[in-house]
Amino acid sequence: MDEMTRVRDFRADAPTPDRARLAPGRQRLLDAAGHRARPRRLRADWRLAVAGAAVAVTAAALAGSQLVGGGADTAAPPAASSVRPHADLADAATVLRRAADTVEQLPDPEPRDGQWTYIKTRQGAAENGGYQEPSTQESWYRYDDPEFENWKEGDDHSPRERFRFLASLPEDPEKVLERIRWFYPSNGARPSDDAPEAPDDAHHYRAAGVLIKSYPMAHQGLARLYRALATVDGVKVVDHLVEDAAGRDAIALYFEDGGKGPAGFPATRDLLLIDPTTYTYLGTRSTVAEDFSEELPDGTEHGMREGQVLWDTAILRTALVDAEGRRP
Amino acid sequence: MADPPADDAAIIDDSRERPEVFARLYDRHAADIHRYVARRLGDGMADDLTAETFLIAFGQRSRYDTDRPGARPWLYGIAANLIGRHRRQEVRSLRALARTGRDRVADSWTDWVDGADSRMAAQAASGPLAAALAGLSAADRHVLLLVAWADLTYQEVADALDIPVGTVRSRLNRARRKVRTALGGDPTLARETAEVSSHG
Repeated sequence: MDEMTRVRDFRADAPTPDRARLAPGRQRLLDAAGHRARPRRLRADWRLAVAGAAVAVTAAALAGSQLVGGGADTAAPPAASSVRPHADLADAATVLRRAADTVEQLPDPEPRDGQWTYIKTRQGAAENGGYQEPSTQESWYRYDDPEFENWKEGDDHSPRERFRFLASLPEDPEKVLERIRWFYPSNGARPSDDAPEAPDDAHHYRAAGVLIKSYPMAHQGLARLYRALATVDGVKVVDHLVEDAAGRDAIALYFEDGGKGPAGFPATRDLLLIDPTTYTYLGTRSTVAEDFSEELPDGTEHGMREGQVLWDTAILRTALVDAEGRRP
Repeated sequence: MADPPADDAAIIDDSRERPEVFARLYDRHAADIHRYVARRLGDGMADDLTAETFLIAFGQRSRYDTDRPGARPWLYGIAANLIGRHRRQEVRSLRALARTGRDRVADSWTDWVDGADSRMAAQAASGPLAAALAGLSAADRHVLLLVAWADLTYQEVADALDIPVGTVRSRLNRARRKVRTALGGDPTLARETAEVSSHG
């Protein structure tokens, strides 16, 4: 027996790990890749969707379920249980104008420098393809965080910068869109006043989406933002109420771009969830936009059904507190 | 319809804009890296070093040469570097096997309930080989085990370790000669040409 064969035979019974064993390392990678790490970023909006898809793809494979092609009984359950008929959800522009009329009646908080924003969030059970238990998280962000002001972190603005920006939005929808393009430039870097960005519907929607999630909120500004968003092509509303990760009814807005997912991922639809009474931000949800299947490296077929929820989050509580770690 | 499988370079390229896409690379290669680490350092090291390998790769993805469609050499190179930090531990385990006939690395995944006797005998028979592996330089051991255990070609080992392919060849020759001698064979008979042809 030659020496290479001897070396090849040595410890040849080393085991190949299964996916469950590899799952924590995968999660570390996704955490590093920005999943939940920087929830404030504009570009996290679509990156998070991909993260959800990536996690869900493996989680579904772990569970050995949701195989496509085996008939209806193998389909992943859609969010059908959360359907609530609603007469007034035919047209996004109408919904947004009604939302504007409502939110401008709401009182604004009065944040002070030195305070912290407290945000309590729930990750729904749908996240990780149902593999992960629902979980609740609390976060604290400094209201006037100098690290996140004056473009030090690009377009990752402190709550104070966002609050003031919202409060300063003009009435004219076109000017609002121009302002939010500047505040959230498509490349995330400090914008140049010499070369303002051209109007772009998808860009408007993404930038508005980040601002709608902002806390503390200047509600007159939010109303102007909603009215501006009502003029943007491609903004749609789901024609029924959906249930958010905390079980609450929600109006679901999304942007129809007809886009595909990146290679190896299902196309996803990100929903922005709004309270049907106060028209303030409730949470997000990402669903599979069209049936998807792929072959995994071990040869098994794995697929996801249109409508399957990839991940969802619900804002349970927001408040201004006087110190990091303090609860309202 | 599923999209056609993207090659590793396309995934890495995509991940520069969409970081989470990098998880696909993990799905493809983490099991192999994990097994390789376990085989060199023991099962207990494999989870962490595999995760670290991919975290480092993720951090370096902007520098990946996307003209190389397969990422295996790159990932094994990072793993080898991490394994190298535990060189003394690896050598200690090999020497212990040579001395006592018990392989604590293989013990880390072996179920000793069944067939304990035959496995112990097999481990004991690996003593001279373990002593030879322990006696190699770290650089030579990397080359030998990337060829023998990771099934990399010479060119892939060269890519993995960032060394010229001629250096891969000379290191492998030296390592094989030492192992052959330790196993009682004729050191002049290293069959290099056969290896070259079988590994492209």
